[in-house]
Amino acid sequence: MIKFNKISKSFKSDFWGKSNLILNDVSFEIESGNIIGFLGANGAGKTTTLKILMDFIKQDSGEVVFSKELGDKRTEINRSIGYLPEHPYFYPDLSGREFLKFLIELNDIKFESVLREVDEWTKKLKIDHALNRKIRSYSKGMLQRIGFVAAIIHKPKILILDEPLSGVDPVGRSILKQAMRDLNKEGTTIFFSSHIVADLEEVCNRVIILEKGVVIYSGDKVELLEKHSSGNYKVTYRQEDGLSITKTVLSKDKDQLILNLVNNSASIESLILETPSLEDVVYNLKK
Amino acid sequence: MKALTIAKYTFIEVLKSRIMYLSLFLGALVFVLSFVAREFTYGVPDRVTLDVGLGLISLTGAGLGVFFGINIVSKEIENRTLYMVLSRPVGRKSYFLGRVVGMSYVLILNMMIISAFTLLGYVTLKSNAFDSLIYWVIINSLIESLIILVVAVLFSLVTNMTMSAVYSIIVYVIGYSLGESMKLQYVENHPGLGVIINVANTVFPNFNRLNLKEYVLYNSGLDSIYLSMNVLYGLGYFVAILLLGLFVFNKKELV
Ligand SMILES: Nc1ncnc2c1ncn2[C@@H]1O[C@H](COP(=O)(O)OP(=O)(O)OP(=O)(O)O)[C@@H](O)[C@H]1O
Ligand SMILES: [Mg+2]
Repeated sequence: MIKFNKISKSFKSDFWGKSNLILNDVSFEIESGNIIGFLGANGAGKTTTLKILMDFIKQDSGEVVFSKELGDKRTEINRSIGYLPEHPYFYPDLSGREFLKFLIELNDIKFESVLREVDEWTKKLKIDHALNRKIRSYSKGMLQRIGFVAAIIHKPKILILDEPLSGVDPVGRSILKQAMRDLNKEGTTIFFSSHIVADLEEVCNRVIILEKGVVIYSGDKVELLEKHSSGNYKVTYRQEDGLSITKTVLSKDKDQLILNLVNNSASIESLILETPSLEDVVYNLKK
Repeated sequence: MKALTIAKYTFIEVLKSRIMYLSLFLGALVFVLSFVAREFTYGVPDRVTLDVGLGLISLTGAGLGVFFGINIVSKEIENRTLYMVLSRPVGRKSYFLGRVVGMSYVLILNMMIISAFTLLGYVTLKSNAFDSLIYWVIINSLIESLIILVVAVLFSLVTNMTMSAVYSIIVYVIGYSLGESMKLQYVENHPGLGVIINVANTVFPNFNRLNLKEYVLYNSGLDSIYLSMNVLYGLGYFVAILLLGLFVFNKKELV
């Protein structure tokens, strides 16, 4: 669907300063139908990559190739894209509804014809109560939610989201993740950046990892997590005296531990396979 | 077409912010100041009212031009709204034109509010010196502020908001002083300097050409060809800077 071909980009810190290489020969492919997590630490170059993808900035070398189904001209391609920038703020003096109307009109769609979808999605993302309020009064998470609605309401073929989950509370995060899964089931390709491995785990099927401007992994998620998960389990149980205890055990030892606990009439509260942190994964990949 | 949608929402957004109250306030201030000036000077009250009023229109016009100009694109990048808009089927040219046109509406509306107050102050004098030239003065001040608007947006494409404001104010000052400097004895004695000033005069806007205040004050008539040529000069300059802005914005890295 979209192919990144040996993209390099450097920035100058100021006019006379020396330039830093931010993206170094970045190549990857966004295949149709997937939910792809774009993982990287702060400053890895995720936002820069997305800005090149959106044609906001120009790469120094390399090319971005869009498949025919997305269109030829940039404005045509944009018709198939839904985009949410990082830390959105928007027009403080427009109401949420006016803002959605504005963006929908830019897609040559009459707002009246998508009222049902607006209603459905704003309810789903629990932002419907604030639609008539000025955006100035929105909290960070609310901005992220209205931005998400704006990004999907014209039914794009591909969604490009820059840290869509940042600043959103746990309930909001799970709503957004569910929304992404639902959209994907209906055929929307999703490409989103994050620096939290656990976020990817729940929604993605593919992962691209960027480390200091270099792609160090691009492929299947399950494969990545299995390879790099410690395989350890976190067992939380409650003792007879009411104390709650969490123990980390190796995979092979977990059954025996649970058996012992049950025999000693402790009550098991949870058993979780540990997710590797981004640092773990990156560290392992670079070894 | 897209440019019109963008212009419309730019206008709505500013209208909904409280910025417009500023013009009501400025207008009232101009009104009061011209009254005060009239009371405290001997001589011809209607001239003083006009002098102060029309002078303040030009100044507030320039101030508003700078303010709205630096907000056209910079604020949009800060708020990430620009990214939301440019990720839609909207070309950069339409976006830039739409923003400038929308902000120009805003500026024109503000200038009309302030001018109305000034004229009100003047009309209350029931002076017979009311001259149709006043309308030309106001139209020219409006063009002057539109030029400052596009100059400010042009600067904001290459530097930060504070510096853009400073540079635009410098252009405003130069635009007024260049024409005058040609008349200086010193310049007349140094032809080389005259050439430099002439070059600068084509690069910088010549606001003296647009300022007709003196003619109104001393009731000297001007023929309509002269007036139209000045308006054409001003609009031509506006369009030239606008096109330059379009060109720069088209190439700009939107980081
Ligand atoms: N306009 C710019 N001028 C100079 N350097 C820049 C500019 N924009 C980004 N950078 C640098 O490029 C690098 C990558 O930045 P980028 O915003 O792409 O990172 P990121 O992966 O999105 O990080 P985060 O998780 O913090 O959002 C950083 O080191 C940053 O300092
Ligand atoms: Mg980022």
